[in-house]
Amino acid sequence: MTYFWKTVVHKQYVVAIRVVGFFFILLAVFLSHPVSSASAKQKEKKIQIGIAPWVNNEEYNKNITAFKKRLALVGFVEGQNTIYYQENAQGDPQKQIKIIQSFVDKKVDLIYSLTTPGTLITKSIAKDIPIVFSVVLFPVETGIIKSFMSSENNCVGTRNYISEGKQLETLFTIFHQVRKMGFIHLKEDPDSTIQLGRMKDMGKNFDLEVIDMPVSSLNELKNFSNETVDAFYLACDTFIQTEGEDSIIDMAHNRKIPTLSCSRSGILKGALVGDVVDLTNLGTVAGKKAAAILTGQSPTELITETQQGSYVVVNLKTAASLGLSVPDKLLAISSEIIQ
Amino acid sequence: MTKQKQSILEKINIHPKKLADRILLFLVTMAVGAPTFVGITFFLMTHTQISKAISDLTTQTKITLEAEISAKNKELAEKISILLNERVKRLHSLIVAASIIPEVVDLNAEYSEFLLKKFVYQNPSFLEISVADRRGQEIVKVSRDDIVLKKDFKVISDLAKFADSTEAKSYKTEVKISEKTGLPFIVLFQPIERYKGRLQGWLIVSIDLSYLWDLISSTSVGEGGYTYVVAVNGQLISHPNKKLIYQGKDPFADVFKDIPINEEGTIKTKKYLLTYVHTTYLNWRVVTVLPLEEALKPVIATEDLLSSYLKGLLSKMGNFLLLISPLLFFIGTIIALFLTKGITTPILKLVKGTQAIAKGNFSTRVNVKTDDEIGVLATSFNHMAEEMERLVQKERELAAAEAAADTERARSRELKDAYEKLKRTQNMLLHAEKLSAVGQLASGVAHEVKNPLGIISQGLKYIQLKLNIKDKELQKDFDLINDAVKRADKIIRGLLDFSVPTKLELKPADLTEVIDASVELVAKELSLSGIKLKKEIPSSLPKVMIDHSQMQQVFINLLLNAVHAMPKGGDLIIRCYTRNIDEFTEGIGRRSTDFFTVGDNTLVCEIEDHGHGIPKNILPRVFEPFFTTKAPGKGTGLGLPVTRSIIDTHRGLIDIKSTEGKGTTMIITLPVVKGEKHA
Amino acid sequence: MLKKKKVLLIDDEESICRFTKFNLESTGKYDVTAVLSGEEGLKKAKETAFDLVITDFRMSGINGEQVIEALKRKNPDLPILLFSIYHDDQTTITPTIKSKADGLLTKPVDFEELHAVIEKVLEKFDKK
Repeated sequence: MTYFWKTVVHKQYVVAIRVVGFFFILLAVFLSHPVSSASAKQKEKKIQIGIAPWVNNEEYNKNITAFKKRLALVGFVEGQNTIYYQENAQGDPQKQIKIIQSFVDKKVDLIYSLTTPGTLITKSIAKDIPIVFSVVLFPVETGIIKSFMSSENNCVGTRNYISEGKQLETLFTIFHQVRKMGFIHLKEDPDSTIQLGRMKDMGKNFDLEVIDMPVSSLNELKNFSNETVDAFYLACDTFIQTEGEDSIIDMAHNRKIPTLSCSRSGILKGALVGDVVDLTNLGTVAGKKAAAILTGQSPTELITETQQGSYVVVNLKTAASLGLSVPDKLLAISSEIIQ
Repeated sequence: MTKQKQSILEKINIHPKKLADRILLFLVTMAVGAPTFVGITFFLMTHTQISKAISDLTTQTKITLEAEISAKNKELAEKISILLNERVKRLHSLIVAASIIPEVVDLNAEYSEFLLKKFVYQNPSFLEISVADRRGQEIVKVSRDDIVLKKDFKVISDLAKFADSTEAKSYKTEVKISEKTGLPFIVLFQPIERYKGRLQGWLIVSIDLSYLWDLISSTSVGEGGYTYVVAVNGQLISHPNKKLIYQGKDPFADVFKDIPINEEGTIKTKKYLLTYVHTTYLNWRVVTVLPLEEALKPVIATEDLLSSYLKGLLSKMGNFLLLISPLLFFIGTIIALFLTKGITTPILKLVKGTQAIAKGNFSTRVNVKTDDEIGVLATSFNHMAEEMERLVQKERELAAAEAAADTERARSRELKDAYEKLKRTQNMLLHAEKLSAVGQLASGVAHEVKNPLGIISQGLKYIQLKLNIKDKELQKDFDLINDAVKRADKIIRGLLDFSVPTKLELKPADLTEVIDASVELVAKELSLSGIKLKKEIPSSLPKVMIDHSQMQQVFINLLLNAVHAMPKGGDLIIRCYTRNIDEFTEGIGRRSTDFFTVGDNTLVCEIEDHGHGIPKNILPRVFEPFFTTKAPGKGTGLGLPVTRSIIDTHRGLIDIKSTEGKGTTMIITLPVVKGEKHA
Repeated sequence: MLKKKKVLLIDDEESICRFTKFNLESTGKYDVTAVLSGEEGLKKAKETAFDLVITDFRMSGINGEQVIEALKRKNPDLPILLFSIYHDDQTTITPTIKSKADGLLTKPVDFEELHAVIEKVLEKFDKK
């Protein structure tokens, strides 16, 4: 036994075995190199969507609801895997900047921006986030996108454009003695400015003079109180849509002047008629586009579109108060008739 | 660097020198290395096999899966195809129905306009509808998205050729992209007939094919897959990437380059699995595109799973190896050690055996019982030892016999020697006893004699004084008597010195002290006689057990003798040195063997004078008590005997060497204190 | 004229006493009282103050050593000479004994020597 211990402790032997053992350990370590575990599934990240309505408006809200609904249809459900951040800038550009910046900081996956002024700011700040816009009249003309078929940028959306001719046609169908029409709009609103120009051009075909009536506040309406017009046109800009409609319609009523409205809400409030865009539907279509983007497509692969077909809304009450009768052929193709 | 390397290599030193270690190292390496190596190789081989099996399996599965998916997708495409056909056909039938409405047949513009408006309102897929006369002149036109001004009425010249034909049939155009909308459309031409053969005009409908998109994209081809539709002219009708439609690029144009539109089937490109069907009525191709990655996801997933499982297995094996290596190592070591022990222990036994033999122990046998080569070696070794033992035994017997004879002789000699020694000792003892007895007697006598001597001495003076003798001659006679008394006293003193054994106080001392003291005492005598003293004494003498005063007496005596031997002066040498007894010498009346054995250390002192020497005939008698060559009254004759006696009691030897006329040397040999180094 | 020194002589040999007394007194320096035993010597010493004592060693009755001890006890300044046939052979007259006395004379001693030693001792003790 002493022999045993003597040899075990023998210096050279120990050293030699040390070397052998060392190589062994190396080998074993090499073999047991931890297998890179299957890439840990990234925790389901919640989709974040920022919504910037620009102003608070019933029709806009319906649009947004439809938008969300359409997304939910394809699996992006609020509260489950989708978070919506909605903030309205109340028409204040500075606020809008802050809101959009906050979306950028939150690294949202998509921004849904309403109105042209709102979207112009959105686009300038969120340069790397896909933007779906809606309730924009002239995205190409205002520079939001390059073309309807391809935006060539991170924006795509749905526009609430109805051809000026069609709009006028609805009015003419009811009331054809329109020689002068007052175009009431928010001063310097980009859409309205373009629309005015187009309306004026279109008016030429009908021997119609379109008078520019820009206002920046309700007070300024008084400026045009003396203008003799045969009809009013309510533009689709946000001022009109938020504050202006009621006042202007009241004024029109008082002066017994028919009003052609760009938006549905105007007719509901008392404008005579309009070929309008169903904003709810517009929201749904915007939602479709958002869904496509969230599942991998890029905005420039999608088309920016408007409503297909007309959506004529006519207010019979207003017509009656104006002493006008609405022909059947208009009623036949009206989507909404307000009694 | 190389120096470091060298030192490291030295330190590691994988080349053990000992046989046992070498064997050990080999065995352990084998014990651990071999199975590990085999295990790893085996495992790697099986791993390769398993990997191959997995990949074969997955390939097979992939093929199967592909076929399945293709079939499924083809079915899908067919469904879409059918639906497309139906849709468009339905629209066509609507148009046909519209074309027979009397107002339309009458080419009643106003009513027709209303009708068409309604038509468009109800069917948003109609982009534009117009009614043209026989020659192709549009008389009514309605647009879905805009008003149509009179100036927008066109003449469709192509229709003119049908003007007088009786066989006008509805036909459709190729798929084109609308400049206004940017969307694909076709134009359907439906002849308006009053009655068969009588062409009235045409109902021209532009169908916005984009309304088909929902239909096409409503079906799912699988994740990452899609369906697209392409017209025979290559124009994309539907595609997830709308941009491509506008640009008109069929992404798989190359793939379908040589395949006619009416063919159906499956194609696998590098990345995609395509199935294509023919939409008969519309003459379109419906293609389902599925990324292979997606299609084969389940298979790939399984493959990955298996691979990772395999890897896991491999790592488990590695862990197992890591755990088991030390165990194997330990077990291997123990086994190896026992094996080596089996080899080296017998060898060592043999070594011990040879060593024993070398020492002369011929009875050693090596106890190795193994059957192997070493066992054979051990057996032959034992035989050799046996032979040697026998030889040695024989020799011993011879030697013993001789020795016996020798011993006899030696013993008889020994006996004789012993006998003689015994005799001598007896004589000495007798002699001593005699002397002792005599001494005691003498002692008593001496003391008694002293008293009367004392009386005589005092009495003489008394008489001198009492008688007041003034006569010089008489006084001289008184002096003579006094001298005689003194002489008597001296003799008695000498006798007393000689005979009374004084107590010896033996102490280890340096003889130099004694010599120096003695010399000092006789210094006057030396100088008086003009004797030159030379000392040949080493600086340090080993200590001897002596009685200081007794030894002093000895030296004084001898020095005085020397002085008396050189009345006219001369050299007197005192010489001391150590000597190791290597031969048997004789002292006067003693043999060195009496006190010393060979190998003893002794201190020798010689007192050499260059006097008249001692004649040979007197030399043996100098140690006789009362023997003196001096004139009566001058010497007692007891000096040398006393000296010898003292030396005896010191267990030393005294010897004389003398040449008449040349000088005398007295040689004293004393035993050195045991432990003292040879100086 | 110098005062005569009183000397006490103790010896059991009558002739030694007589001769030695006569010899010493003849010098005129000493007044000697000679006794034949140690006891007598002690008695005399009690009566008279001596300047010197000379005593034999081996006597019947108390021996020289005892005499010396007794005398020295009484008067340590009294010089005592041992006068004996024994010389300091260290067996009979041991160094201890020798040290108790102030000198040792070995018989036979010739008178001249005796005289010289006495003088020497007295001188020594006088100086004290």
